[in-house]
Amino acid sequence: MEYSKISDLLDVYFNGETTLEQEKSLRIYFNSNQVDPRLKPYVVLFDAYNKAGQEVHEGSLILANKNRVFHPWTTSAAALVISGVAVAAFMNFATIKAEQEKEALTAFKESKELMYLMVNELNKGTKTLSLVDQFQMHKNKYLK
Amino acid sequence: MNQKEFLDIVLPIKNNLYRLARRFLISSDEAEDAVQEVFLKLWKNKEAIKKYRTPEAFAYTMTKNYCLDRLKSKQASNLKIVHTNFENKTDLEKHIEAKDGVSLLFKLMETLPEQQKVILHLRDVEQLSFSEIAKITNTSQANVRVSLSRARKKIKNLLLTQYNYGVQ
Repeated sequence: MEYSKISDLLDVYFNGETTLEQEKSLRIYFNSNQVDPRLKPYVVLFDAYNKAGQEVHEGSLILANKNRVFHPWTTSAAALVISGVAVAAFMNFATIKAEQEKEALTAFKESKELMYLMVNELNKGTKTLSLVDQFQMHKNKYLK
Repeated sequence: MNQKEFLDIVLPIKNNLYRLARRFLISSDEAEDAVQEVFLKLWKNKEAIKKYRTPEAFAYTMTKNYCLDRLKSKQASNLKIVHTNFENKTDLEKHIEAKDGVSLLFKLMETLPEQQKVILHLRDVEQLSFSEIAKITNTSQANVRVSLSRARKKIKNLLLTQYNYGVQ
């Protein structure tokens, strides 16, 4: 194509008024080896667009494989399971509490008995200690 | 909608979405991640896709918005540093001179406002029609033309300045 024609087409192009067909012919012209020296600066432009158009996505894409089906009853089922677990946990908790109370009571009784035993032993001890007083008294009589 | 139907819609535009993401995020890894994210989002909302007359336009818009969000987010603070030079080894010999120009041009494109960048990309790289671009960018066709013209002229001026520096 001759210079003046391409030059006019370029003006239209820069005004954003070219059709896709015209732009195609511009691209073909600038990617050929017969570009007029006066139009050399624009080679880069069309070359870049051409190359940009060749870029491809090389990686693979990952999509969720399973097509998840959502049933309306799943929510009610989930609610049932949750409430069931909650009730079981509560019951379990209640029995645990009762057991703990029982254990505490027996422990209290046992410790009470132990206390009595200890007090008895202590009383025995204090009784024998009174003998020491007697000894002191008699000793004082002789050793003034 | 099963997986096959879904893939029939989105797989043909995988590369297009990737290129758009790449214009914004520059790094190819980031762009691939973006496409992956967009696909996952689309897959999650696959029932909604049916309602759109043009799922492709919807996917483009989603990619654009996702990229802009990425750039605004804190994660992206070190994103701008990543720059992979544009390379295409097949015809490297043919256009050694132009190769520098290609990466230069992408740098120039980065200076454009977001909307202009998207429109320029969709038109000159993806070769979409004005009506398609208008749908994706959610503007009128007249607006698309104006933005496109501004973007092209801006790139032209920047390019010519650079080119003249090289000559002088």
